[in-house]
Amino acid sequence: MISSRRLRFGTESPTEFLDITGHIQGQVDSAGLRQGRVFLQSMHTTLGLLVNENEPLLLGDLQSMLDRLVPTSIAYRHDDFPARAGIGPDEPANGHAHCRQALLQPSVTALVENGRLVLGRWQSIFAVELDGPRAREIAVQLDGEFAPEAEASRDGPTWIDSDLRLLDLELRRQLEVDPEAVGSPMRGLVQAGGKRLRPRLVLLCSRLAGQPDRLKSVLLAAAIELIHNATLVHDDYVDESPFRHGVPTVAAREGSARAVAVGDYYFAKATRIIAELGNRTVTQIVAEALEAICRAQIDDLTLRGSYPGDRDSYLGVVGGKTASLLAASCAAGASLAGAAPELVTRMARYGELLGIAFQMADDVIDFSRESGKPMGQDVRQRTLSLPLIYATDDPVVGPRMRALLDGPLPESDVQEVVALVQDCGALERVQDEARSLAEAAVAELDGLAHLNGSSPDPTLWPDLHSRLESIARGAAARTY
Amino acid sequence: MSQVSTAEMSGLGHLGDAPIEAALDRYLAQAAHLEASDPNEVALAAALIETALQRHRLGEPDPNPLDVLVADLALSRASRLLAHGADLPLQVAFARAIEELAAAGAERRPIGDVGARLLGVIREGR
Repeated sequence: MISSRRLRFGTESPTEFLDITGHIQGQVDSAGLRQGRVFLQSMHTTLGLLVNENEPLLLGDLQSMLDRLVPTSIAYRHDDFPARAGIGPDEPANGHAHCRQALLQPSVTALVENGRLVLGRWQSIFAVELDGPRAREIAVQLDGEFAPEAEASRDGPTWIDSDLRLLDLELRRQLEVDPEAVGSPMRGLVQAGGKRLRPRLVLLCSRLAGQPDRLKSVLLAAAIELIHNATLVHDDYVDESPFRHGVPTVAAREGSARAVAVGDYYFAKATRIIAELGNRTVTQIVAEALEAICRAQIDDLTLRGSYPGDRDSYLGVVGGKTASLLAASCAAGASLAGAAPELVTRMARYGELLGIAFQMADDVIDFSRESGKPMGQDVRQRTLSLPLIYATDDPVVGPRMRALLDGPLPESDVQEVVALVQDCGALERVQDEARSLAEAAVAELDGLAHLNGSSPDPTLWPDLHSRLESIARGAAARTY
Repeated sequence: MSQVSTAEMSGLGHLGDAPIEAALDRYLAQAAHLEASDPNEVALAAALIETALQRHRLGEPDPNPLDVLVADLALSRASRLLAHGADLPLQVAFARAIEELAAAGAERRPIGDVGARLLGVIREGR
């Protein structure tokens, strides 16, 4: 059997070594490949692949080697645009990047045994950006023996796969009919990626009771995804973030005036779509979540004066910024299906716990060598982060952490902060907390089958339970 | 300000009370005869939307970041008030008005008189 996929990601620097080992193992896990091979092929002529050690100084050596062998300071005929035919107006001067790619590999094969990539102790798989920042794609083929349950799921799409395809079509339809000045930037953001976690929760929870209206569920899921993206557009402007999902943010690409208007437009459009569903409870659930998000964003900005803050402040901000919309996705989906109030409340609690666990895992990933992303971004941008808070409270490294965070944080200090956080046990503490929250979310699910008179539909519940359980545990355990 | 507006002003101090009060009085007069909606909640929602869109300075560059977030809070609060106190056609009409104004801002077209546009929404929503 062969399973084909695409790995999509964004890069943030002209030259970048992204450790994609965790992503590839994730592809192996999700496909259920037990024994076989993974073939990776770069879809670009300025993105190479490499298997080597993920050690920061070595990566610096490799960068120096590329600079030395293929310097940017010399002329390349590829960059002589008048001499070339058929080039577009946005053709980059990147002869050096093509030549550097010739020193790397366009494809890599990794073996898989017992569901794990076969790699030596120091081996990691890298995607090497040579002409960033850009949106990138690697073709992935998995070939071999798959776990029986994975075979079954590949025999045909499940109902959630089908609903998610409908969701993508609905998002595309909604964005096509909007004025270009708002539709185009939002299409760029929505198509750049994202996990679609919120709409997935809406679609799952809208099957919890009664007779789910599939089209209404998809509309609600699309509207919640638009709300999420509208908040990101404003958030990125406020944070002065240059990139989101590997592509320039709306504010960076189109300017602040356009970004604010795009956020307002989709905030209004999404609330209208939800109002038009005609379910006042659903409208109120989402409106309350929106307000919680906005309150938390103000708190987040205000708290930066006392960076890195404390655990209570962190939970307050994360509860609003991340967990409230996940909780609303669950509660609104269940409510749309006509679930009893107690079931809706339990699902909201599940979503809230999941949301906090999700954010804690995200914080840990920022300090992870295996994430494939540059480490320490939260430190550079002074973003609220629980590992940083714990490290600052640590009796041994805390004083040094505080001294560093009180300063201007040049890159050398960022690296020291990252190392202190990695070494003081803060990451393990946050990971444990995330796992506990995920288990508490699963416990909310476990109690649902015994609700008196308001239990989920028993014919669908085992499947839904399994999927929701997997989302909760996966959110806490994710490494990228 | 009325009791409902006082309770709903928490966290919005940055917007300034006076402009909201002035707008609220205009909207209350227009909303008084709404039949299927709560006039107080609708009027306050309209006042919050007007003030928020002014703070966002639609179509103009570089709004103050904190203003953007506080105005977002005002918009979301208006959304919650409408979800609670306005009938469906009125909720939809307010959302469409914001969509039109935001699209104009994105296209750098004049957005016109926001207050007059929202008063029109309430007038037609009777």
